[in-house]
Amino acid sequence: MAGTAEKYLKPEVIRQVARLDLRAKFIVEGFIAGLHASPFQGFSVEFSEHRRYTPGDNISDVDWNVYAKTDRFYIKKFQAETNLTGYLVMDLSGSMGYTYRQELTKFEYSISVAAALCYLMIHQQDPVGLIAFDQKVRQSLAPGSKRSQLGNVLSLLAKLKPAGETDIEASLHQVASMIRHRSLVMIFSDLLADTAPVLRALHRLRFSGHDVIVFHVLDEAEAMFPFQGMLKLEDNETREILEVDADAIKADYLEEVENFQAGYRADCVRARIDYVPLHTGMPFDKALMSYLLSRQARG
Amino acid sequence: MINAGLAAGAALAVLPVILHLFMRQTPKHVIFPALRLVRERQKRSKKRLRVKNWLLLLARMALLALMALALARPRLYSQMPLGDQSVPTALGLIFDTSLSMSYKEKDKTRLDEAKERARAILDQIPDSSLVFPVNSADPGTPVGLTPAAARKWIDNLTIRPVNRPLNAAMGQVYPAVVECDRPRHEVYVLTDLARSSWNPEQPAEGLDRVAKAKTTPGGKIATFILRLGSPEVNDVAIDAAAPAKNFVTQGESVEIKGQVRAQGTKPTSRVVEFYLDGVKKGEKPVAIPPGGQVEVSFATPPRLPEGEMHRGELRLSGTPDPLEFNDKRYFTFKVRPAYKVLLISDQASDAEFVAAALDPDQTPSASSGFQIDKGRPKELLAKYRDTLREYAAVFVLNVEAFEDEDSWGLLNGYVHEGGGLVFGLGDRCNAENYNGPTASQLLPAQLEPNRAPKGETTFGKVADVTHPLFQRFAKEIDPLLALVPVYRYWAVKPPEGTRVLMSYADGAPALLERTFKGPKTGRVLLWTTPLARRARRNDRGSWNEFPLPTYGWAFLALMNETVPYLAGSSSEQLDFEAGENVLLFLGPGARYQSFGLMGPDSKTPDSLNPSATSDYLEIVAPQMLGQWTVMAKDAENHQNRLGFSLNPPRTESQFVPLEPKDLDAIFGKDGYVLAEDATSLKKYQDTVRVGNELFPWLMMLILIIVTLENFLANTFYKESPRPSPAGASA
Repeated sequence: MAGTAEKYLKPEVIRQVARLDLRAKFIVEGFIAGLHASPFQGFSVEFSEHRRYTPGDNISDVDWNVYAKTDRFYIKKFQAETNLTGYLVMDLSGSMGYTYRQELTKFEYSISVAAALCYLMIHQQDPVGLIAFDQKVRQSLAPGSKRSQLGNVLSLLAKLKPAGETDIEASLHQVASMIRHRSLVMIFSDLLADTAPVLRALHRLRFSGHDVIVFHVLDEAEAMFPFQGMLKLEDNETREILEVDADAIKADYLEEVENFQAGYRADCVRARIDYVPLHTGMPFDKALMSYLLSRQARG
Repeated sequence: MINAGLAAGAALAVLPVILHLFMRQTPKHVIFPALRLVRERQKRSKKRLRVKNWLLLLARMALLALMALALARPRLYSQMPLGDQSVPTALGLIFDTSLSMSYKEKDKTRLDEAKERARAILDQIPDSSLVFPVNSADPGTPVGLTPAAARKWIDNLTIRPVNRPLNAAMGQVYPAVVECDRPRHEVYVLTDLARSSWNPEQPAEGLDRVAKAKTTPGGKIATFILRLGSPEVNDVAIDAAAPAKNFVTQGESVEIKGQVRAQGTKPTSRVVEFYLDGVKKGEKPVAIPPGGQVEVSFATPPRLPEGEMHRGELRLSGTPDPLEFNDKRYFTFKVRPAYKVLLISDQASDAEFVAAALDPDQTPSASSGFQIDKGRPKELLAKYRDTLREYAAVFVLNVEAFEDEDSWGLLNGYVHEGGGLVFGLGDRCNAENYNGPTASQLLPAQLEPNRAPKGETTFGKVADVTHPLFQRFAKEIDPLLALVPVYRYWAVKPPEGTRVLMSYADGAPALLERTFKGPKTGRVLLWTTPLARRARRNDRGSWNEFPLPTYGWAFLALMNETVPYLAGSSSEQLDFEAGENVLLFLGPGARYQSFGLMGPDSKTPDSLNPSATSDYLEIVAPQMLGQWTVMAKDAENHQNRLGFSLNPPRTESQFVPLEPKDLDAIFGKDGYVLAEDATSLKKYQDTVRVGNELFPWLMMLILIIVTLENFLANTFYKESPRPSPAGASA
């Protein structure tokens, strides 16, 4: 990555930014800076509210400020054209609070991404809401598009602490019943539960008319399995212990993870749900790019 | 066989198990929320992992066990549980000292090579060993010698012309080796494997002792056969040298025939020299094709001194060849006075043909092997009563009858004293007279009415071509006889004991023989057709054309063979082969007081005791090749010089090696080891004493298992074509 802004896409760098609002800002700016060479060149938070003038458009809709800056004619979009209500759905289970050797836990990584997305959406005047769950929905914040909503969301995110067991299925069903209007539901979870029930819940969300992005966040160690020798593995939610020979099982475990993700991917593709596998060692731009692509598909 | 101490190292195979149990790594405690993924995977691959782990453990255990086993140096098929250290040995050494072992290659005979190889074997054994050396010439149980004494014994070995089959020599050695108390038992046979040195049809003697010894601990005997010399032989030999007959009448020149044979792949030429009584009488060059044979002949001078024995020799000269003993061949023959032959006939015409056959030139000055006297039947008693015994043969040719029984009696007595009588029956013979009481004691058959055969007949086949009468012309005589027309013959009834020597083509007997045992064997030959012909076919006496030269030389040859045969001289042998017992004919009724036997080296003669009754002197298997002389002294101190020639056996020159199947028949298939040279002997000794080492095979197996273990381990632990890490595949 080149440039100072883009460095904030690295988790180990963003970890040094204690304030979540700043994290969000830096991540987004880093992301945007990285977009210079991309097909999204020219994209900006501001310009995302406009479109090029085409003959037949109402002259009164021309944004003369933009013309002054750019000598080009842009039409200001109505809010109604651009509004996409987003819900950040955070898994608060104890497994989300795990990291082996990364700077950020799965939850911290998730909320950094969530904060950045919130920042992006607020600046595009898209309403954003927040829902947090473990065995059921624990916290929620109604969507809002004002600048103050960003602070509310970030403030709530900063306070959330993952603990205990999870029931992703029940929680997502609850989320589905909470959201009335068509929205973009962005789920942040490690999905370490039985797959079938989770998929059922995701299908329900999708078939309710919502756009769904699943950010499948694993710890880097869970994704890469960098262990050696004899291990006594302990599940921090169930307290189950298992002794293994790390060298012996590594290949098999990685294959299992691959199958795990592949299973979700395939099903999500069929249900037209965006599936974004992430781990805490990866830079944030991937997550943000996924949001952007999804946004563009609707814009 | 295995080194027990080191084999115990195989117990180290349990080390991985012990290490696994007692040195197990303390597992590191790690919080891992994705444990459910590990558990689910483990459920599926638990069984596979278990198998893999067991395989790895087994491979590592096998590796340790094999390494320990390899260090213990196990061996297969070791016959002796004694390893390869220098072990006190009961060592049998059998030397082939036959004539073929004098074959020289690179200035060394095969016997020299045998001595070298034997010394090398002796160098390998400790001084506490016992050695039982024998050679193929001397019988007897061998005495156990120390290795030092055995070396001296070996130094004194020489080639011997007379040898027993090596089968018998094995029988001398095996019992001695079996009974020896040394821990290791080995027998070595040093031979060029010439067939003539063995009896391929018979197993080696003493094998029963070997088989019995096998059943006792440490009793096994290993038999090594060391082939000496190369199987290819280049040699020229005089295979035969002999006069046409052993007894020559004075004035007669005799033909000396020799056979020269070449063995090898290249044509060769030599000069054959003829010596008579130590004087060179002639030489002839001969060219012999490879693997071929040529004949050479010489003639003796015609006027050899009478009454003497003559010693002849054929020698090869020219390029020397590797085998010297067969470059000479010896022979002996005697010159005697002319045979006295009496022809009795009624008519001169009946005797003229026999006389002409025996003495073609009947002028007094002409020398001949026969002295012919002719007489009438009535003169038999009057003129020949006292002198009849001086005649070597008496022919009674177409005699009508002997007037009185005394004549038959005289003839009877003559034959019983060893005389030879020939009857040629013709048209004049009176059957009644010939069937009389005294005559029938003499004649081989009773006469029946003579007859003409149905249609013309000829002589038929000879009953036994090995009979001395026919032997010289065995191949040629039958076709010749078949040419001779026979018009008439006497039918006879041969009693039991009479031998029919020849028949007519229609099967009727033509020539019969009767023998009379006594101090000298007397013989009567009866021709049932006359030994004469008539000029006119319609003559009453024209019964055959036997003497007519138009029908070949059978008559001439048979008459010339008949007289020496009847005189007994054709059965006297003067040439012998080494290993045979010599029988010298002393003469009928000859009695000697003492004999002096002198060999070819002309040393002081040995004395032999005469037999009181026998006409023969027996000399048991003389050893030295060459001309032997016997001085026989009678009661009046008169000395009679006798002699004979001793030649090497012909089979010794014809080098035909034994084949492996012959050795199998002699020793049994697994009863011996054949070593072609010192290197292969060492290899076989190691195999027999020490067994086949398994170390190289074990090392190969270890290498394979190491590779396998490495492969198995890496299959567990390798970085498989990684599923793309989680998060990278969106």
